[in-house]
Amino acid sequence: MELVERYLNAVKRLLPKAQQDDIVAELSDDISTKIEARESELGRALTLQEQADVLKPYGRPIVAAARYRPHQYLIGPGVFPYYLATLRTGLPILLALEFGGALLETLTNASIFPAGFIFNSVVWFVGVVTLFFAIRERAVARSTPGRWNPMTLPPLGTEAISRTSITIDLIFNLVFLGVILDVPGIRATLWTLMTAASKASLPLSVAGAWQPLLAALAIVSVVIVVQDCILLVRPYWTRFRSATLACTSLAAGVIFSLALQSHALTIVASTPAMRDAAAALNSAVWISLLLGALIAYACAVYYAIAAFRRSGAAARSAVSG
Amino acid sequence: MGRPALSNELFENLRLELRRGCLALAVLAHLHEEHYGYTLRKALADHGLDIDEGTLYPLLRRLESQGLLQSEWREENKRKKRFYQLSADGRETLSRLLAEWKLINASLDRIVAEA
Repeated sequence: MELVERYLNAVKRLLPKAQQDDIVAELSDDISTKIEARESELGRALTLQEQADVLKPYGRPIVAAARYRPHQYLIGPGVFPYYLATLRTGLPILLALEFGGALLETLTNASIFPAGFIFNSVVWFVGVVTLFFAIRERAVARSTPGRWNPMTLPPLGTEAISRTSITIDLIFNLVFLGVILDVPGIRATLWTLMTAASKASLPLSVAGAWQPLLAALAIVSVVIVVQDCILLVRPYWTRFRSATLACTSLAAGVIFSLALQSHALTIVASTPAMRDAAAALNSAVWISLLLGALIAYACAVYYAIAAFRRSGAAARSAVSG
Repeated sequence: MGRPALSNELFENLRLELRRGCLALAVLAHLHEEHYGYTLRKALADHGLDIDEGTLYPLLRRLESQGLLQSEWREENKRKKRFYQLSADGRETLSRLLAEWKLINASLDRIVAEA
């Protein structure tokens, strides 16, 4: 019976402490009864191989012990859809932040993220989300079947938005935000890229009159980043979303228009030798601002019309419903 | 060549799924009378419902922790054994489950007859 003892010991080690003795006593009785029944059939003691054959149906100790645990899975089918949705929403946001940061790092040569940050943060994110849902599986899923309001379902006819396009938009907005907020070295690097000059000194600076406009642009950019994050969570168009995008586009257009009025002061040369370069850059900036303002106004009109159309569609849907 | 193996595997999964719900019902129904694990398994097998050791004991513990069974250790044939029997809650739950099972069975009979 040494083999049986070895099996029971192996199972016991894997059981919760409070239940070890009780479960093993019952298991031991069952195995012994089975062996005795078999021995009585054969009229002799079982060989070692025959004892092993009796033990086999009980399964490997790790499996046998796991069956006594109340949960034999980490995340069950009731919670799994939420887990998957969280990963599908969170990972693109995380990757957008990190690729935006990596792009800035490449442009500026500045160290924004420590080495291995992207890999580590993805592993951490997946780990924390998994842990959260594993706890939720045990704590919440059993107590309530889940409260949800069917009224929150997207209306019929809503257009889906590609998560890929939102993610790309988010990356560009984050980079733009980095430029506006002047992530250390980025403007000097842009100068270097344009002129192939040494990056050590930037002979140009942004005019003081631009600072309020940059602050306003930063606010609009932050709003757009938040909008992108919301769209990643609920990737379909609604009247409200079209309207908010129309507002942010309009705000960007107004800021670009105000900036156009002070184009002469956009970039200031810090040395007399750089005056020509500053003038050329100011012309380029002025054209970019003009184009930016036109695009922003066009977007504002486009989103406003879309919001108006969606408002009409919602009203028709309500009438027909 | 891969198709029969896949279909067997699929059948086996569906069969296990079908049996899983029935096992708890069979165990509860049989524990109207007091049994310990070994005799319960034999009794179920005699009625054509084989249940392996690794499944039965955890199931008994789960049903007991849910309050549907009660158990006590007693000595029989010079060995201590754990005897299980339906609790009051277990009896009530069993009668409700049996009613549900009869409804399902009747519905299935009608569906299969029409198929």
